Amino acid sequence: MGKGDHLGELEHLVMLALLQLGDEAYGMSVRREIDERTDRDVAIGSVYATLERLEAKGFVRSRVSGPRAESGGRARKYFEITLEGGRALAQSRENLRRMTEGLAVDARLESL
Amino acid sequence: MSHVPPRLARALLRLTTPEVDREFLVSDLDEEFEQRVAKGASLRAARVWYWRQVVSSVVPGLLRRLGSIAALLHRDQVAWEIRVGLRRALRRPIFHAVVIATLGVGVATAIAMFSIVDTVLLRPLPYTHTSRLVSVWHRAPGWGFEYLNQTFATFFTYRAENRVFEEMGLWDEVPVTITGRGDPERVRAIAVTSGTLRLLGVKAALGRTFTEADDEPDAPLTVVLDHGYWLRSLGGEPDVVGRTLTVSGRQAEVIGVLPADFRFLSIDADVFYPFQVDPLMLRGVGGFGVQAVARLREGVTREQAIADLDRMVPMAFERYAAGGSFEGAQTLGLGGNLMALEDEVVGDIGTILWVLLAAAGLVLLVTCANVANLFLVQGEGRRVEMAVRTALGGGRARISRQLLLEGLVVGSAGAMVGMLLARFSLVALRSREPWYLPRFEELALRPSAVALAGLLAVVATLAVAAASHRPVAESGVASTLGEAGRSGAGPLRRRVRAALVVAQLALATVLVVGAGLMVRSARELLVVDPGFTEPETLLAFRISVPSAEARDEVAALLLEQILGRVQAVPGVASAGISSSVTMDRWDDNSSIYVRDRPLAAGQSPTPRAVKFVSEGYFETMGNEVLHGRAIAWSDIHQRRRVGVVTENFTREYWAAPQDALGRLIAESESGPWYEIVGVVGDVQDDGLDREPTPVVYWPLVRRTADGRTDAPTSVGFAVRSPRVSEAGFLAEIREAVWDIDPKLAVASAQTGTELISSWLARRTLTLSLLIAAASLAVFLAVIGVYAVVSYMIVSRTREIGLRMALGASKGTLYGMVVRNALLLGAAGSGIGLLGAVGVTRLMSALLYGVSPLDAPTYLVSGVALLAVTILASWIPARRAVDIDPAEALRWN
Repeated sequence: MGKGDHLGELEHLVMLALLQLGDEAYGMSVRREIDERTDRDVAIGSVYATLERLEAKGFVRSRVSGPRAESGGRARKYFEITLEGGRALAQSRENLRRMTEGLAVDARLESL
Repeated sequence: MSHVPPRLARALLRLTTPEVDREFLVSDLDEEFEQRVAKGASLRAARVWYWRQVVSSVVPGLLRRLGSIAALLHRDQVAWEIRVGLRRALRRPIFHAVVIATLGVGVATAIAMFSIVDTVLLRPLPYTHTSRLVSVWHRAPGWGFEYLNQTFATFFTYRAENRVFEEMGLWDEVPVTITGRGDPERVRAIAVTSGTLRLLGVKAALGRTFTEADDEPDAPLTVVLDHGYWLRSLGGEPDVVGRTLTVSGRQAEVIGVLPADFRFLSIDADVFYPFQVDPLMLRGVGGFGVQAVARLREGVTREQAIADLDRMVPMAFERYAAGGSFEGAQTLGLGGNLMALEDEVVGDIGTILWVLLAAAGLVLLVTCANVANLFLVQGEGRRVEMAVRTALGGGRARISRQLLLEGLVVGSAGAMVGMLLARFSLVALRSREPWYLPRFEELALRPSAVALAGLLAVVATLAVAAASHRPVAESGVASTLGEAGRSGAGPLRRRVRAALVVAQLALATVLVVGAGLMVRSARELLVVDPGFTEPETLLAFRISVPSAEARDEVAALLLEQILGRVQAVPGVASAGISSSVTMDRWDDNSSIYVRDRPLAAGQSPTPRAVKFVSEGYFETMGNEVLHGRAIAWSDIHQRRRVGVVTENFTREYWAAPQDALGRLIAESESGPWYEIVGVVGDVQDDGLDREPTPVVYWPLVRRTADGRTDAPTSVGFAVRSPRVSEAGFLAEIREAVWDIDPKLAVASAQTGTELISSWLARRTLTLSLLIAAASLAVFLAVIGVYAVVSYMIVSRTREIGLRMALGASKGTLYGMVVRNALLLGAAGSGIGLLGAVGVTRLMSALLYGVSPLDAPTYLVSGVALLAVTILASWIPARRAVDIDPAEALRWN
């Protein structure tokens, strides 16, 4: 895997949020998900920037919904993970697992 | 009540978010905003939250937008696109060549002119502590002088007694003759005190400059050489220091050579030598004929310095004046005055340069308008092509990129061409040594000008890209390919193009009016009678008899013999001597008292120009003796006390010029009195654009009250001959002079024409440049009109075909085209004339004999521009008429 295939931290969080949200994953919902779960107040612009990057890497695809009644006729852009994206995410988790193998991380952290 | 997110934040958000996500992002945020309010958050809290989101999204958004451009440049595709772009450009070489050349000329004009202004006006002088360098003058309102020179007495007093200057130096331009090395050579020399070069901060390149020891009256004479002179006349000998030169008959040791880039103020001097004046030997305050420079102490203001000078003026009189009294001078209001050295060096050329810079700016504007116009028209022609490409999946972004690249190629090529042209012009200008342009030797393409060129390139690129882009972007693909596309230019585009052409015509009109006014000024000046006839057959030169060579009567006799020998040269109709030939820039002034106009108490006499003349001078100059007679050799030999005056002098004192005959005038209140025996015509001694200077002519040799001989040893010769412009004539004159005395140099030889043109040099330069700028602007405007009218016809081919089919005559069609063009021309020249009214006021200092609102000039300019517009539309009009109606109706 090349350099561009590793996930940055925010990219990781965004992709996990996509998994959590399933069909309801769009810009603001992703932001809200991350904020609620991690208390990290991400800017909406950063979310979209990250999603664009992920899309360029081929890990995420987007679709635009038709005009919706609730938002007064505005369209919405939904995102979902691709196969490639899933593989990248799995690899990321595997990397973490390998790094923490045999390491009692919590105990180490507490002793700092 | 609807809750609206803060509008400013929303606008900022829209601005900084890439287009692809813009609508979604904004609607997401708005939705969240509404939900927060709906869930019970205060409006204020929600707005604060909204702002925070927007602000923290600005940077990622901008980065995304920049990132796409950066990504652009990294992709191989871009390199391919550049190649494609270049190939496309080469397929239309003439168009692109014209555009690049046009841009190049506009840019070159702007940055060359900017370099000149930067060098001459904006950069500080190349001396140390330039801001504190001043030239020290007197003011004498009683005599009408705002700036009056120093005398030796005043200088020595101020140097000793001042509290405001770190250093003071005296100087005067006094030419010397260098002999003993081949032909005697008359060189430009500056007499100085040791402080003069010192306070400018110049260090010798070889040897040293003057010290106080060199100022001592009985010290051996030393000289310092200018770098150029050392190279030219002494072959750049490395061991020149310590050598001896014969300077005006005296032996002088060369003690140093100045650096190559040094120039004394704006004078191209060859040699510097010390005055060696003994302050103790001064009698009387003396003539106000020398100049002083000084360096102010730190923190001293101009007002303080002038106050100090005012304090010291009476001291000079008390110390040196006969009778030790300041009273006489006090009535003149004599006090001190200062001029920043920079202002002195640059002089009054500032106005001219700013005017020329403005003209260059106008030319640049016209150029840009032209280029934009050409691209708009070209863009028009490619609309269909672009639409097809978009329909085939070209992508708007790709097309925009391509146009941007094309604009970049054109813009940078134009800027580079411009820089090359500018550099070339500056080097050419510098090598012609335009002495009337101060600091010309420093002319070069400055980094600031190069930066300006770069900026212009960027602006040009964007303008061009924008101009090509609009036709494509405005109409969608479908409409271009469909019915609507056939009718050609949309109304907005048409108006933009028309506005551009009108702007070009207006700018061209302003330049034409400016040039026209200058042309009229020049013609008015040429008509002014300089005080001598037939300049082409007049030769003037100067000879100086060094005191070591001959003095007093002997010198005068020598000059008379030389005159006789010169008169014997074949082809010489007449010759005469004058201490200063009209307009040769040598001035002698003296106070003149008129016997039957005694001065009131406390009144001072007016200084007048005085000249010492031989017999034959007036005749040679062609200056008619209006009343009485001229000065004759018998007057001179017998030392008769006679004089001749110009007509304007007589009018100041007497009712009619002939009333002056027999009156008595003198240079001092107690005489000796000279009788006016003749009145001659007025002379423009100080240039053509002023009132003629009143002149008093004395005999070449006079006897003073105490019996001594008074005669100038540096004089001008005037020679009248049809052979003046012949190649060998001057050599023959020189031979004649050397026949009598081989040690005398013939200097400053000029024809009458050269005398006049040297006064007009600056004007001529400005005039040529303005004419060039105006011609360029008109030419560019013509191209603009041609392009617009051409396109109009092409886009209305169907309509024209229709009209022809319905029986419209050729005349009607011509009329239609020309009428359109005429509208543009009328608007353009109308606006231009109005603009000229405002702008030419700034030029009034340069005009002579014509007002900035001179009606005939404006009228002619307006009509000329109209005519030019009609002419420019003629060819397209003919093409319109040649359209085959059947073809036209089928045309899409």
